[in-house]
Amino acid sequence: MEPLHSRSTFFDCYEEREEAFRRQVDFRLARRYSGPALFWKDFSRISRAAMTGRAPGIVAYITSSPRDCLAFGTPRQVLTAALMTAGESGSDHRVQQVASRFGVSDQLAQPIRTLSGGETVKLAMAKTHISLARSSHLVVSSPFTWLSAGNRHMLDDLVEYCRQIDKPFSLLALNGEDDMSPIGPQDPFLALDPTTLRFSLRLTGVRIPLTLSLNPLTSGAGHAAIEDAHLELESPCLMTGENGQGKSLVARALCGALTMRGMAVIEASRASGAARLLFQDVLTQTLLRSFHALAGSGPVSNRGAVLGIYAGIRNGYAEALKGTPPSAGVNDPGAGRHSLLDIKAILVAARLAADPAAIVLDEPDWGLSRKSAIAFVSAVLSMAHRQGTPVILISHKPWWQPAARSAIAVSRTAGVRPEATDRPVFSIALRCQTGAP
Amino acid sequence: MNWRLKALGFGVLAVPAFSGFPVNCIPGALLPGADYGWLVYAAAVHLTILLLLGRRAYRFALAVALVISIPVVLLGAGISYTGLLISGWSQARQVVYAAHYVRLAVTMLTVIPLALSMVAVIPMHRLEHYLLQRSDGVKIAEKIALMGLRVFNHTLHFVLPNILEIIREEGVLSALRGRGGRCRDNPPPLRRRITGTLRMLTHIGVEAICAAIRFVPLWAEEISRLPGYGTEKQKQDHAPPSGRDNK
Repeated sequence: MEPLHSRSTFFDCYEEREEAFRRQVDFRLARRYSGPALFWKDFSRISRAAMTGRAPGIVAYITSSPRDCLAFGTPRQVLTAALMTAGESGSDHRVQQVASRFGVSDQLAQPIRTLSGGETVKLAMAKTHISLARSSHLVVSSPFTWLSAGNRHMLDDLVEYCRQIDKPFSLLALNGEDDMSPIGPQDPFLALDPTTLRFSLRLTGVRIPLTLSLNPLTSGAGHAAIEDAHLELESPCLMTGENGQGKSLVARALCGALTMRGMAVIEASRASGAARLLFQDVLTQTLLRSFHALAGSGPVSNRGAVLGIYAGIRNGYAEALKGTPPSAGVNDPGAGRHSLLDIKAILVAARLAADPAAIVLDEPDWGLSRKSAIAFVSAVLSMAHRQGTPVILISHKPWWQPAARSAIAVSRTAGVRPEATDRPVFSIALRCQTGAP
Repeated sequence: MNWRLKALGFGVLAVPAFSGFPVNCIPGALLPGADYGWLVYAAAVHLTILLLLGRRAYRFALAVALVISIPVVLLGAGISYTGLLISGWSQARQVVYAAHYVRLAVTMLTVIPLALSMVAVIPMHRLEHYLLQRSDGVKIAEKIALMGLRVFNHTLHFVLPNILEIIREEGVLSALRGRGGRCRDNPPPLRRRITGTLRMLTHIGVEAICAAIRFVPLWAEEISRLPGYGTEKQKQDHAPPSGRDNK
């Protein structure tokens, strides 16, 4: 780990790292975190350059959300195009060979949108590996956030390959994101209320289609199954598992974000509604809404209650960091708008204000430095517990283990391919981890 | 039946909708606006969808068609009749309006399920893959087709499902109905629900447009770099030796 650490550049906040990343990739990516106006400005400039043949040179890169650097619809298409662009044969045999090496051979025909985080990461690695030969340099954004420890060797291999072919590379990360030690006394974590907050998680016959949007019209595609489970848990609960085990899929099922068959519910003593979820890719979840629109998001939300909870989270954050609450927009050097941290806080506040049965935070550290992430999660836990809402934390990082009062291990069976290669079927098992912290 | 035959079937079936032949040539009408030609054609379209795509797909296509058609027809008729009332009622114009909106309803309930079925049977991602698999490089026309397919597939299979996921997660529909969360015991007034809905629709529209075009430059760049027709062999000859799979 150390050599990679010494070759990485660390930043305090998402916006600074993103700006540095955009500079390294010749500003070819439009900013989505600063609202539609800036997005449109960036987009117009990039498209003008592309359409007039003034496109920048080839750079191999992986974005902080690896799905964003995959240009096509399926892994097979991504690898075929990458091989052809690199001057190699895009034959099925060659694609299969590369896919097997990176562990995505069972997902070649699956739509990229339905790939798990781990599979997406592996595919991005494979594509970058192929493109490197024709690229001037390699830039990787926040690799320690999206790579679990078990897959870290892939990044080592990529960097080693860069060295072999003598290509410069940059790893841009956020402070502390490569630190794998569990939170300790030195970290800004607020002590939780000792009151026990119990809840249960019940899944029966859950089947999630791995199809595209027009589900009923594209019948016959595969589906993922979640094994039946009834788990008695205590908040905060940690949902763990390596990349690609299906943690996000389970979270989306529990929070009703997916079309599915079967029943997935969280039952808590004060359950008064569905469970709510903070997505890992929070930028998608904002729907490009401004901070104020998010505070009043949903057709009938209570803006006053949302802003009250938001203020509580910010105060908790400041208390954890033993400082004053951050002023809105302080971390955004570009647009003078709200930072990613503010956006996360307001999204959580809007969800807590809806009195959910539970709130699920999917990789809440995404886009935050270690210190910020720990203080933010700590503030959310404290606020949620104060109003009696159980919290499920989803992470592949070992940071949160000491804070969790119960834990669920998520594991996925190897992909099986029944009658056709484009019908991947797998199942996900949830186990209450014995000896949970 | 494979997708090519299904696509061909729907393609042939779409000819009368586009050309008006022979549906507009068949005389007689069940009631003003509901011509026998269109009624028979509508029945043929619905039966074909049911037979080729199955009951589940048919129900979905019909539901989408109804959701789109009913507001359009009723709103249009409402506005027209209001105008008629204001400008002085005329029996002759009333009959013309009635025939027009009946015809519109029949046409929409025929054409929308047909269009949805055509989109559903053509495996756009396979076409993309087919265009990428040309061993002798990709022609300019194929690159343009690839770009078009990419935008279509991305919007249909990535942007829309993402937005639907967020709508479901936020419980937008149940909130509109005055259920879910805090509004269960204290449903908000209708006016607030309507303004909230309009606001949400605006956000969804902005997101859909931005998310649909977001990757266009990336695709343009990647597709333009694909080897051109006839240059694949040359590129292979000039490719640097690669040892990455020998590790």
